[in-house]
Amino acid sequence: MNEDFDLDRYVALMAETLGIPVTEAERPGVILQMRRTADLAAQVMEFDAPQDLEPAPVFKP
Amino acid sequence: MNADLLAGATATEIAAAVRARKISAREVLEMTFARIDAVNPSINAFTSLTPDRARAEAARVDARIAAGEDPGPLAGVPYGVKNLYDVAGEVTLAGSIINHGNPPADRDATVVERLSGAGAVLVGLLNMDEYAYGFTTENSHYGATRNPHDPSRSAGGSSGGSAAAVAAGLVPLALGTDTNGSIRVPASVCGIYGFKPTYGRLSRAGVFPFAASLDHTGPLARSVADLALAYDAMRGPDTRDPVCREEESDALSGDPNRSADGLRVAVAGGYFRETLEEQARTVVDAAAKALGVTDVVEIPEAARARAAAFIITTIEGASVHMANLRSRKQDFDPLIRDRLIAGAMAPAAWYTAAQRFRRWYRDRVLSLFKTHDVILSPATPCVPQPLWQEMMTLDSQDLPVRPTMGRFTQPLTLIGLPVVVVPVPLEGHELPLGLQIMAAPGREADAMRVARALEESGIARIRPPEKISFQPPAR
Repeated sequence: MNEDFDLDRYVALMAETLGIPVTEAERPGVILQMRRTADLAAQVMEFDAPQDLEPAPVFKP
Repeated sequence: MNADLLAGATATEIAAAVRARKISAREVLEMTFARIDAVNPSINAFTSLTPDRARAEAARVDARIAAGEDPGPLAGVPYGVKNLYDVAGEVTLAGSIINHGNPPADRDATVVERLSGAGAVLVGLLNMDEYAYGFTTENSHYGATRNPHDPSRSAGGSSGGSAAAVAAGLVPLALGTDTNGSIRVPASVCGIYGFKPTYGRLSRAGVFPFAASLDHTGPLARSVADLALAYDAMRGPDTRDPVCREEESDALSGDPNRSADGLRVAVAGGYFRETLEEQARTVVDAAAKALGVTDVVEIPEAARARAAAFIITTIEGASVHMANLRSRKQDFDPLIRDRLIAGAMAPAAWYTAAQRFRRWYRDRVLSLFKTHDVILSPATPCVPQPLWQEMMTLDSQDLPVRPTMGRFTQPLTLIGLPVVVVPVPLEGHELPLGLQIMAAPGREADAMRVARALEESGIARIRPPEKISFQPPAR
């Protein structure tokens, strides 16, 4: 995972995609939280999981 | 039983006194309301009371006793529920103002229904972090809940109202929920007992969701026996909750094999001995010494497990609130709003990676239970912190207070292990910090037996708070 991606641009694009407007005043808080989330996600993404590993949730029809 | 005795009484003691006609459920209830009136303004645990329902439930218990019928194992026991549980006729606010617009619940959450059926008396609803997304019960709409041991400090969260109400002796029993530690963290820092059974053991039907993959329900109380009594009244299958197990679980009260003798107990090493206050290490060491435990096991990849729990929580949590994030973002508590927005924007790849890691981690941790039945760790890395404080220092690291409180609880909820938290007061330490006792999935009884052994040896015990100010009773 590229940890240096442009968070500012990502947040702006996702705000538009999801229809969740983020004002200039709100932007720093959202970007800070996105940074924290991305840092934790990096720990999970770099885990070398076997390809045949089942995800945890089980659905019973 | 007078009001002072009632404040320190356990649910077991109250039910026994009511069943033996030493006191009526109605008398217990009126003393409870008087104490709530006197103490609650100092701690802000209850956000609303349910006096009409409570008086009707107490009257039903007293009528059954008068008629010679069985009033139930929790006869006349007053209790409160986190404001996340549906209570018929009440709006489930979940600590928000957004939910104000929702209709009142048309029926109780399943576990509330079952407690009432067992004779318990619901007295009110308890404060929490908005939508359960926090570890401190600092709620911008309804105020912070204050720790009964030091009202300038947090009661922990997100079930902080539940823990503070029990610690202050307002009720002997309360329900909380636990997705990342929200029963265990407040139980730890309020110095009481808390119980998060195995994922799927207790129904979550009628409980407002936070992160469905990790959501648990459970009790907070003043003794191990009370945790078991409440669990027994609530356990069992429920077709309203797709996660709830279809088979019955064993009763924990009066467990015929109560002794912890023969259980293989270990202390969690590595991650669970790092980034914490000395008191947290001492709590575990005192329990290990009392139990004669010398084994240490390493829970693998605990830091990554915490990260995976964070990712699953933020993304599932955001999905619940997507419509309101679009239309009325300003109405969310500022303490959680940015986390929900970031969760909404997180790529799917992060979520699926976390759910795949979760399976791997589950298999690895379960293998530890081949050699040990029970593992001990601190419940929180530190004692309760001052309200509204942003940062703290642990082992020379500057860390944000709010997320760090869940450091030792999050890696366990990720895979749904049953955990009992017990208070371990230490000489020379005024503020509480609890012990986590974890067992293999479905093996609640093992954790309970170790908790009982520690309670019987006096290592685990409730220390009454000294700092709450008592206003004169209003009636």
